[in-house]
Amino acid sequence: MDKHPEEQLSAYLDDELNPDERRKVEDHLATCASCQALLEELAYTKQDLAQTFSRIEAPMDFEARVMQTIGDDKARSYAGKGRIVALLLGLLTIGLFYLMTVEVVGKLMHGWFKLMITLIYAASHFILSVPALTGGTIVLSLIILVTSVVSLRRLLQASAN
Amino acid sequence: MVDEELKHVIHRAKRGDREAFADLVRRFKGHVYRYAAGMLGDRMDAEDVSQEVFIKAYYSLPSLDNEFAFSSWIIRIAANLCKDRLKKRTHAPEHGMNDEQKERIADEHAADPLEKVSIEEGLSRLSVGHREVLLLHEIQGYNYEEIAKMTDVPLGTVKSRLFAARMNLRKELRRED
Repeated sequence: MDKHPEEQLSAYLDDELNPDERRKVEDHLATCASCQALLEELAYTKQDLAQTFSRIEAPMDFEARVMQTIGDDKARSYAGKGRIVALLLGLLTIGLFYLMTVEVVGKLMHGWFKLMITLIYAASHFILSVPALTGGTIVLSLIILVTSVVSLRRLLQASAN
Repeated sequence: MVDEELKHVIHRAKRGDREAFADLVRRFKGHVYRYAAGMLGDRMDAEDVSQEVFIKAYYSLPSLDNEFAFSSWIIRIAANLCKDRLKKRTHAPEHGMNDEQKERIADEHAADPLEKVSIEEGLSRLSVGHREVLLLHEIQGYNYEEIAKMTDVPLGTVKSRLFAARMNLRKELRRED
């Protein structure tokens, strides 16, 4: 007897053999009970598997959930884009505010500086125009100078010791 | 195999028509879900992965060149996602949930539980490659040539793999007796 063409039996069952191969398998099957039994068993399992799975159905709300997820994803991507736009607008606002503020603060600082210079200038002018005040200022300046020199010498001596 | 109406629906969905895509989900949800259920052996995971399949399909639909190949294209997506899920499972330390979930599956189908569990159980004990070829052929109805293209293996390999898968399934089912 020929070697059992088991692998061919599987393809025979699926109608995937060419006419020549098919004829050979049929010839063998006509004389081999064990291959006939195997073929029957394979056919039964094939049918069983197909039947079992044909009863498996996707859940009822499946497509609704898929479509909802896709919708959510889209909304999220729009929301994402919205967030980017909001961020850009925010940055723009802060930028503009900063520019405007810097100008105002700059002007303010500049004004203060000018005022101080003018005040110092006016004060010196005032002191020089009154003789008594000029003398007093010179004396006061000398006293401050001497006191400073003395304090400095003391401080230096103390640190040397 | 693919009728003109379906081709038209796919074409509309490709151009971003949500209604058309919902129609595709309705038509192919069983096709994808059964494949995932067979590959993963777990309904919850199958549902999860099937949803991922359609979401991925929605975003990559513009890259589908041939509308006639939609069904094998979506099964390819399902195959990749199922294999990713199985890989993750082997890395996960606990498998306690699986038994519990399998019991739940049996409960859900109380009509003929013994028969069902035995064939689904038998299938779940096979290697990924054997399970895949059985599902593609017996459940999805693809022929050898189509399976060879979908799984990127030679035609002869499909033939021998399917035979080996059947013999292994037979062995597993006999063990049940």
